[in-house]
Amino acid sequence: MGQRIITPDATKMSSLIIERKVEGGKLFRLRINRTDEAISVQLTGDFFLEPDEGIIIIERELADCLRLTSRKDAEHRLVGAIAQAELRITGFEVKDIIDALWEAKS
Amino acid sequence: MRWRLVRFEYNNAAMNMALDEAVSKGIERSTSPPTIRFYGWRPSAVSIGRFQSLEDEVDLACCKELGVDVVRRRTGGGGVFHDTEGEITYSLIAPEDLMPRGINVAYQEICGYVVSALAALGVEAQFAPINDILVDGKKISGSAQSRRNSVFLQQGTLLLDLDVKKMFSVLRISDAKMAGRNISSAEERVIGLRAHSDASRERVMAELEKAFTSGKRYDCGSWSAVELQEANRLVSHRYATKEWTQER
Repeated sequence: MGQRIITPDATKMSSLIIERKVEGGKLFRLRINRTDEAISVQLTGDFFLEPDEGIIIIERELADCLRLTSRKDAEHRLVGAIAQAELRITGFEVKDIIDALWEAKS
Repeated sequence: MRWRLVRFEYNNAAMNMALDEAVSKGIERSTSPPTIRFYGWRPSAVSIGRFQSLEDEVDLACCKELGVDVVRRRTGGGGVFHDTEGEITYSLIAPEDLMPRGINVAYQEICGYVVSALAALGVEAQFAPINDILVDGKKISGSAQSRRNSVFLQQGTLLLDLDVKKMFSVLRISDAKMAGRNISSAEERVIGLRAHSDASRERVMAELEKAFTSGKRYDCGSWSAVELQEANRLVSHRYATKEWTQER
């Protein structure tokens, strides 16, 4: 279940929001902000992540994943980053978030 | 190891969250005992999960108009309306090795205390993974857990009297969250204990204390001077700051 919202604004920044409620899990939103110079991703929602500082790692990796052409490579990259930082996520799987990211790319 | 039970007390939102973190730090330094606390929120407040967007989840103008505080928790999970009279909140804070290792098992164990208390009040409730307790398919209790620096924390609520109108005027509920639940509105998703029991607040507290302390050696206690000092520091440096509350 998801929602896609595009909100261009006057500051040459466009935002794309992808929302997902994972069945049996939690809700998350990906906010992808693009300017001429940069792209950033914000991940919000009612999921759990330990340790909480790990959200910065995930958001940075998701922004980098947007530059990849292979969905499989993106999933592999995010799985690796989460394992390396010993992050524990409850409420969604990496696959769910990469699905949402790839929808944003399409 | 002896536990400490801190009986029901009211605090404002920032102080409630700061006390949990102060005790967590105390446990990390072995200066605080594992603690079970029950508390209320004065004034009423909305707490949002660590990773939620403040604007997405909370109607800030409505909170201001109604005098409702807003605080960001250190734990994940969803937005909760804490009505001063309408709910009881608990926190269980302990060294991680005293608690089940698995996240779901730990939720089941602690939510089981609330289910047992409700059963003693004649109310049949079920634990609903990941972190809810339902009565007749409606949510009566939610909880959020964190494990940080080998300290386990679970915060949870038990709804008593429900001011549904107020709850859903301060909280914004996503359409995606409601989809697939086979109910027409968010209001139908929650229920207070009063709908099923006329037990006094004192009786409810007594059953909760009994269920949470069953099988544990414990003393009733209060905050140490060091804990209060740390909590006050956390209020002014984290929980009452715009930087923290509006962080995302």
